[in-house]
Amino acid sequence: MEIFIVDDDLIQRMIVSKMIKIIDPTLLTTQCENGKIGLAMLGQHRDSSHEIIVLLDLNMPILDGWGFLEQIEKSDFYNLHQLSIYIVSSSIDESDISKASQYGFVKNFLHKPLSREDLNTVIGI
Amino acid sequence: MKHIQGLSENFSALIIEDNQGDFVLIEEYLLEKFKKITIKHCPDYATSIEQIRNSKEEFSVILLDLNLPDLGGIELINSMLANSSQVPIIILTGYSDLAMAKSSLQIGVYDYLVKDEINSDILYRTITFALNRSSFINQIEAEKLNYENLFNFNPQPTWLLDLQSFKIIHANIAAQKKYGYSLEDFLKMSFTQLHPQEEIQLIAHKLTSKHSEVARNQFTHFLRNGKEIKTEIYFKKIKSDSDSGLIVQSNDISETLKRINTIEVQNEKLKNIAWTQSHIVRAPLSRILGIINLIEQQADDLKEISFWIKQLRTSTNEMDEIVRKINDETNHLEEN
Repeated sequence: MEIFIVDDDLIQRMIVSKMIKIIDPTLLTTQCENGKIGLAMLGQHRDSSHEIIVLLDLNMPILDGWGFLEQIEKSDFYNLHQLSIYIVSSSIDESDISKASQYGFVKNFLHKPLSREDLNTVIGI
Repeated sequence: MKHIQGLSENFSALIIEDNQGDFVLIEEYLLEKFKKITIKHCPDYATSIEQIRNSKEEFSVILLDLNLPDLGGIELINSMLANSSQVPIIILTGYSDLAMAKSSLQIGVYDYLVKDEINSDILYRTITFALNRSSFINQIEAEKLNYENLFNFNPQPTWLLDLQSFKIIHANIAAQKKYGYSLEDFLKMSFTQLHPQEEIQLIAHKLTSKHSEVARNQFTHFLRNGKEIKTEIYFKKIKSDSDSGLIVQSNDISETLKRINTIEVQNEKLKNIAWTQSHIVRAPLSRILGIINLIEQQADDLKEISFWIKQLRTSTNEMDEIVRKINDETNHLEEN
């Protein structure tokens, strides 16, 4: 299992990756500082049946979370068989939440900060 | 209702008659019927005019012979009408001037009596009828004045228009003040001229419609100085002297619209503040909470903890700055 943390905030990325390491030190995490880098990193795993979880922030420079979602849908999810995408945002704005619900493939809308329980659920423990 | 002057009240008659015999006869008839009566006698035009001008109180009635030594006929009638204001005039005439006496009724003379036919009853009846009519006319005149005042002093700009052409027949003081046109200017205009070209058909349609037909009630008017105002138009069909007209009022809603606009701009700013609150404030806040989560998970590693406390400081400062900025924006809501 590999977890992609797509967020422009370095501290947020560090917090999440630390938390994951505390839960399970064997889990692999990849940090991407915007949507474009996230797509590029994911693209390297094209066609893989490897289990991949994406924790996606919404407000990012260059390519934001919405752009990421559109691109990956267009690219047929790089033919990744076990891909789960979670939106992780500090936004509590209703419009963001309802917009996210239009992407049927988004597993859930989570609010920052992710608690240990949130991560447990995401990882599936 | 005004009480009719007559038997019980002080009644005064001015008799303008050059023939002494005729005067004595009429005086006798009057004294026979009116108990309290003051009679003035003038033998010619000049003294009668002087009498009318100089007497403190108006006469109740004027009895006027048509043939005076210094003036007669239609000229005499016109002059007396012009000088006697509202006092009813009854003409005393012979058969020879009957036609002129009859036609004088059209220009304001109340009645005429043929001298050879006068007796006390006829004289009494004629005078009573004249007083009666004059009382009604005065009452109507007073009401007319009241309505004119209601129109003129109404603080809302108000016009009287011709029903067909929308030509302005009258404009009140508020309309003159607000729009900057004198009454004279207005009388040369059509009401639709106050509107911009593209609204002329619409306003004409509105004014010819029944009240509810044209729902739109927001029009543009140009003042004389070129300033544009937004206005609501209210109107009502009325009967005037000979034909019917339109009473139209305009209500300047420019200020109201401006206020609504200000409120909308402020709403937009409030929305932005709410957005900032949701996105920007929560960014460092969620970081702080995340760091606390993390510290709780590894309370034994001092080096780690000191790093995260430094991060806490940074994020807290960031939040402080954001909150100050929101405060600023809220304070500047009223500025456009």
